[in-house]
Amino acid sequence: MTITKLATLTASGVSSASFSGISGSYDDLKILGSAHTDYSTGAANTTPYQVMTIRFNSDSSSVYFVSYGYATGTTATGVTDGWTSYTYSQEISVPLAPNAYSSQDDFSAIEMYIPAYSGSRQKKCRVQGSFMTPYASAGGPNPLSIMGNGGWDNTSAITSITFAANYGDFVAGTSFTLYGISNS
Amino acid sequence: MADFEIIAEGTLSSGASTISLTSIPQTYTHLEFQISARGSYASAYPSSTNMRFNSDSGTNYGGADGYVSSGTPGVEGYSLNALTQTYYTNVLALDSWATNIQGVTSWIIPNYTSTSFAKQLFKTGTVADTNSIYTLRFGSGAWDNTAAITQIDLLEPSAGTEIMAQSSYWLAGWA
Repeated sequence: MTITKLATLTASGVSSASFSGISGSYDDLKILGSAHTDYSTGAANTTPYQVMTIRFNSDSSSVYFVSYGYATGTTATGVTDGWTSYTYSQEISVPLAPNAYSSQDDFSAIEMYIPAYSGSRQKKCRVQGSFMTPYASAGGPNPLSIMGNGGWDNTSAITSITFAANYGDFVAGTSFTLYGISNS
Repeated sequence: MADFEIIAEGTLSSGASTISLTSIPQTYTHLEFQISARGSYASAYPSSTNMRFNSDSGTNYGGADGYVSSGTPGVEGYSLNALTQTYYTNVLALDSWATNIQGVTSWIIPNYTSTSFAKQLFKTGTVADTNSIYTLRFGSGAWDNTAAITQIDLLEPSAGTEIMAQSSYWLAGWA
């Protein structure tokens, strides 16, 4: 197995950022990263995080799906676990971007793995991550972890990956690293 | 420097209360740590390890896990600044189990060299024994400190217990 760092993506003051021109010469892709957004008003102000969306090849049609288990809260103040699924969605949506109600130095930890990204079948990916906040937010302490999978019902090779905040902009410190993995 | 490198690895020849990884190079972007291990803690449930960074034993950590244990789902955790180490993994095989069983845990620590942001990690772990005790966990962990991580201590399951002999581990850097 050979692992090659393909690109580093940073995002500050923008609502989305993309890896583009991804070579099809590897077997799998892996992404590690961290995110935080500046959103502080509106419907999101009861929770200290935003939804982060992921699209492939800039496709915004309703051909994505995602399913993840989640755990949130603390033993002292109450915990919740459950399962969230979306089908026929316009993107893969995951709650992995702390917002302005989180401490500004708290970022998420994100991992994605996309096997056979250049093949001719429907694309699948593992997506998982977590973040933690102190008591500073309107939503109170709200550590959150997810472990799940997503997909793109398209047989095209993945050549670009876009990360976007559903509200607000990413702030400085948000970054994603893309790796190509060759199995031989 | 390769884009993925094993920084340190080992197999315990005897039980240890702590595995210390010191002088971690600051030349990578992200860290990944994995351990296959047994713990000497006596319990009906899988044993545990946890992480401490840069020898900081202050109440600067937190974490929350989701889990499925023997068919029962749940969640447990502590807010930031509530723990003196990252939250327990709870997937180490027990000394009382068959000796060929180990529990596996993997941690991802993004941007560990940052001096601007607190450190966040994500972990997954699993273990199963021959008596239908099986556990899958995923969770968060955080260290409320903006210092670069230069040392990781993997701590014993609980006071007076050990990470047992033949437990193995590796720490890798992602460029």
